[in-house]
Amino acid sequence: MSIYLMCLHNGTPIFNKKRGENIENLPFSTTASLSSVHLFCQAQTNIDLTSTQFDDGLILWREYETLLFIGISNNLSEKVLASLIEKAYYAMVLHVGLNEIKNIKNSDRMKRELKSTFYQMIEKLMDFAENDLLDYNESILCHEASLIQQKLNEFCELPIASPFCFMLTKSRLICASLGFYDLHVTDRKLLILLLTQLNVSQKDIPVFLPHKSPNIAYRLIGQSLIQGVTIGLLCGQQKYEDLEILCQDFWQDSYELLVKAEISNPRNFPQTIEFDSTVLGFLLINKHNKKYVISKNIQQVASKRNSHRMNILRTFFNEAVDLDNFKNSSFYDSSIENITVNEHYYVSDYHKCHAIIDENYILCVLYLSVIPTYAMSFLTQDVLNKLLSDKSIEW
Amino acid sequence: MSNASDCSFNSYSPDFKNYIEEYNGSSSLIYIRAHSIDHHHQLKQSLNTDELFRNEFKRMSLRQRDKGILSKFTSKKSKFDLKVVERNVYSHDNGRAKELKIRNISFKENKLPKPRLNDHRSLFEIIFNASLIIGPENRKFIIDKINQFSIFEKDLNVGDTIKSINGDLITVDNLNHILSKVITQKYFKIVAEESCKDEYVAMQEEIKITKVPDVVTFKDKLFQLETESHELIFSLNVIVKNEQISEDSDDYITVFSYPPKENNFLHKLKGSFLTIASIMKNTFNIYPRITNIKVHNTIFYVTYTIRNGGNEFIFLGFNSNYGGSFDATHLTKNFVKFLDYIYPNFIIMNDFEQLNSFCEIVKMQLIKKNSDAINFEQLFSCVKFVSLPKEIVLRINDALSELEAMDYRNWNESLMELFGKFSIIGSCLYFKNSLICSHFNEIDLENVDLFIRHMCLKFMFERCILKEVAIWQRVYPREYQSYNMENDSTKNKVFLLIVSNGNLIMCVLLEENSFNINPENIESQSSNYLINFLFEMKDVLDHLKMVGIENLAKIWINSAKRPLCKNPFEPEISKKNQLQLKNIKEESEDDESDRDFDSHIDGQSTRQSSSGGFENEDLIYKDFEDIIPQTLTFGADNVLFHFTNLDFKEGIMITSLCEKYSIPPNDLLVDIFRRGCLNIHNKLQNTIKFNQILSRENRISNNNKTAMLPKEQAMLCEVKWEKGILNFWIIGRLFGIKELYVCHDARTPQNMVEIAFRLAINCCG
Repeated sequence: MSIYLMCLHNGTPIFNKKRGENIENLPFSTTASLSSVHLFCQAQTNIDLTSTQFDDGLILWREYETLLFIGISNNLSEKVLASLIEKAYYAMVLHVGLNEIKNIKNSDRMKRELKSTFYQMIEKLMDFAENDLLDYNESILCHEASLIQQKLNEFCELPIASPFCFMLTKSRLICASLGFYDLHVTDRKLLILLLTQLNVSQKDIPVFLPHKSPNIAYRLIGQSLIQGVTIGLLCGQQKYEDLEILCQDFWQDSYELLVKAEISNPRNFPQTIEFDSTVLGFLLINKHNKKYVISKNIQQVASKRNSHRMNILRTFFNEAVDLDNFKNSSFYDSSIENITVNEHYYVSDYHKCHAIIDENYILCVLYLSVIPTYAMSFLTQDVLNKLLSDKSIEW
Repeated sequence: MSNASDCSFNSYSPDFKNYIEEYNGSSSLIYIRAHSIDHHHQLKQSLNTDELFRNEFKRMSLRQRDKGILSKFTSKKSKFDLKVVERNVYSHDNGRAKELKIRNISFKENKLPKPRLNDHRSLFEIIFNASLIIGPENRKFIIDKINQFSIFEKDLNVGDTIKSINGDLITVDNLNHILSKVITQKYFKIVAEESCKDEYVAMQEEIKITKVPDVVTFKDKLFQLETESHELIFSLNVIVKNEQISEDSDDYITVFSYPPKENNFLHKLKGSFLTIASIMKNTFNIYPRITNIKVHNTIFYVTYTIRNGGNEFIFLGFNSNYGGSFDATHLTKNFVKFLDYIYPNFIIMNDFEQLNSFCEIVKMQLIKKNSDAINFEQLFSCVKFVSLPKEIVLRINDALSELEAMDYRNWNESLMELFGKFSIIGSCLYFKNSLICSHFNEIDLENVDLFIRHMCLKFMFERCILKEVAIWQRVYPREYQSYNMENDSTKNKVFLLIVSNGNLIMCVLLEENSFNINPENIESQSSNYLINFLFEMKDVLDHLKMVGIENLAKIWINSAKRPLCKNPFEPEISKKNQLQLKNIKEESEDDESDRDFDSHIDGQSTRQSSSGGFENEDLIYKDFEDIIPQTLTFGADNVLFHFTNLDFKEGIMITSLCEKYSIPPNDLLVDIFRRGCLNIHNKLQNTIKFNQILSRENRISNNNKTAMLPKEQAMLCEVKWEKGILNFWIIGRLFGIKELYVCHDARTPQNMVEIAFRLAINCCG
């Protein structure tokens, strides 16, 4: 896989990033030509050049305010590349705010204003583009989540008085306050990504929330509670040192809970739940809260193949389950009220995948290829029941 | 069903023979005779084809004919006792209107007439003894014929337009309903407008096409399409590098632009497309395939075909309101392939009039598509194939082989010369738009089908009555097995000949033997031979028609019973049909004596008219008697809704037949099915690509490691509609490079993969 992501302001590059094995930097002449082609089309009675496809790849042009983003990839679908470009733009808003982007007077100054965390975020987004669901937040399932959630709600109300708190373990959400889930999923995604990029000394940073507050900055505070567990919160004027003490005091009697939650990594769901031996992995999506759990290690065998399985599940979701051609499509027959797709499956030489889609959840399960096709539907339903029937797992 | 086949072949006059006498022997021949209106096309009562399948064949052979000695026995007075009691004539802006008040004397006894298989009259004709034709766009109902004893005999004339009955404006949809209501009323009123003679004559007029631009000239009459639109729907720009300045220069000139440059904004953007192509080539060593641009909220797809080392560019533009990017990609591939087939090099030719017409034809075909409807299987270059019973296929094969061998009748001097002059590459036979027999390899078959598609013949079959086609055209197949040792079609002469008779179309590909070419007067000499050959083809078609192949193909295709597919959105249909069947049975018992008499006479007539053909015809019908509808699923209910089999290896496509007017409309299900297929097809293509890479290289690249490579993919759809909830599966499966798609009810307990297997092993037919 290779990705090129470029951002230009009036033909001047703001950044130019690449990702992939053995790929070379694009010469400036190429970037400039791609930018000028877009400009030329726009000069011709407002024609917007949006994309060009070639064998196994595509180029996308996206214009946001005064910026032109160009993305080139040889393996990503149009939907994923467009989402990556959008996230890159919002990451810029997160750092400098919308007003700044609307009124860029000097591109060099803009480049200086974008802190190193911005570039790290772009690189991470590009790394994750293929292996992540960019429009969802990754989380874990654990028995301790409901207790931690109660504690977090108390923490939000009394000492901190911030509605936006979230608890992470290795960049995955354990739980979050209701206010945090009210934020747009992109805002949440970028906050989580930013928090995981911040180094030890820099845990207090101003952020513009691209959807909620693109022009007025909030303070993002990150506090490590134990190794591997971090709490993030958006707050007002309090001193960082005070907040640090407050956090440690409040959570010190819950360390045991946090440790238990942390060891759910990398399994990502409780040890007590067991599935059929043909199940290799699953991807569970909460449609309402826009979050997902992916398990790569059901049989507890650590091997290289595990990440491969995760990627297959994500690809299955992106390319087959998350369909566009049934959504928003007008059928000429007025007797039709609604068309939904409730199940999907595919069979390959190496494995099988099955997905169930209900009102609130989507579950994609990866199976060994030996499983009979007709049995997958029952087993997937069984996996869904086991994951959601446990009351202690609040998700 | 079109009525083209209903015309007696006695009345069929081979007009193209007359045309040939005037023909000046130029480099190609196009002669198409078509009719824009379809007599009482949609007014017929729907007959149950489900339960009557077994008997239909036999009865078809005994169908009474309109002409001949039988007419005096068969013209009867209408069963309905009607009388005009009041006449009013009044004037209005568009002319005069007549209002007839009709007394229905036997209104209490009247009930809806029971449909009879051998009665092909419309309800209007049964009641009033007068027939209607439908005007352009189904807007007007014009009286075509007033029979003896008709109540209109004194008051109305042929050409008058029926406007309303009992105050209700009549339409195609409500006419039968209104009629069924009024026959039970004591009095009712009919309002008719006096005819505009010119309009009626114009509608009756036959359309003759002798060159490609004629199709465009007569498009309104032929297809009743409203093509006057200011938006850009389709565009073609051919751009070549200007090498006259210098070899290294980047100066490009436009060779052709459709629509003309001044109306074609995509032509103004050619610089952008050239730049993108150049960047892609220089940076990634690859050419772009398709560029999307957005103009005032409308997306346009611009496809690239780049040739001659990047010196020739063909840009085709498509409006997204008339098709998606999938459509654009496939239409481009097909159109360019077609142009390559009929021109040695269309980029350097001088006369662009014909090319302009072909662009217009593509535009027309885009317009006809409902913007909401999805195209899928019809976009591929696979030919829609219908597998007829073996007995029929054998007869067709015999006829085609005889033509190819040219040994089927007494030799004479001109035939001897013809035999030495040409070698036949292959031939095929279509029934309307469906291939029923082919002696071509897949490449030739694909090319011939693209030719028929782009010459608008398929579209004409859909929209109007195609009475006669005679075409010969020199073609330039890129890959073919030449009889002249050298496989270069620009040096050898290959000709495509097409002749139609009724609904049958025959295509033959010929190659001129190089050792016989006379350098003097080559063109006219060849054309004379080719015209002779067209006559030979015509004879074969006459023979096929005479032995009943056309009728049998029609019945077979319209019955669509092998395998039988169910339309889930028409749940009431089977009940209704059962009722109809019962009525028909009762009717047949009542009219037994009548019918026997008719049949007897009709049999005589058939024997007289078809002379030697009757014996064959009868034999074939006998073979059909044992054929029963075939269901692929087990259990009492048929749970198979739809299927499509794309065989890229053979170049054919088999799909459940859903032609309008032949089976209940299945449009909604087909639309949902195609949306599903489109999604699955892209993934199955990935697998084919991956397998090809794997066969070349042992190592799997990183790009393919996470790719979805299914050999079977499926989705379960739930449709909420006014009658409840319906769940069904859409499954796509890959067999080598063959793709099979099945749609079936989700409630079935069977392992439906078996169905896919049975279909893949050619269970159709």
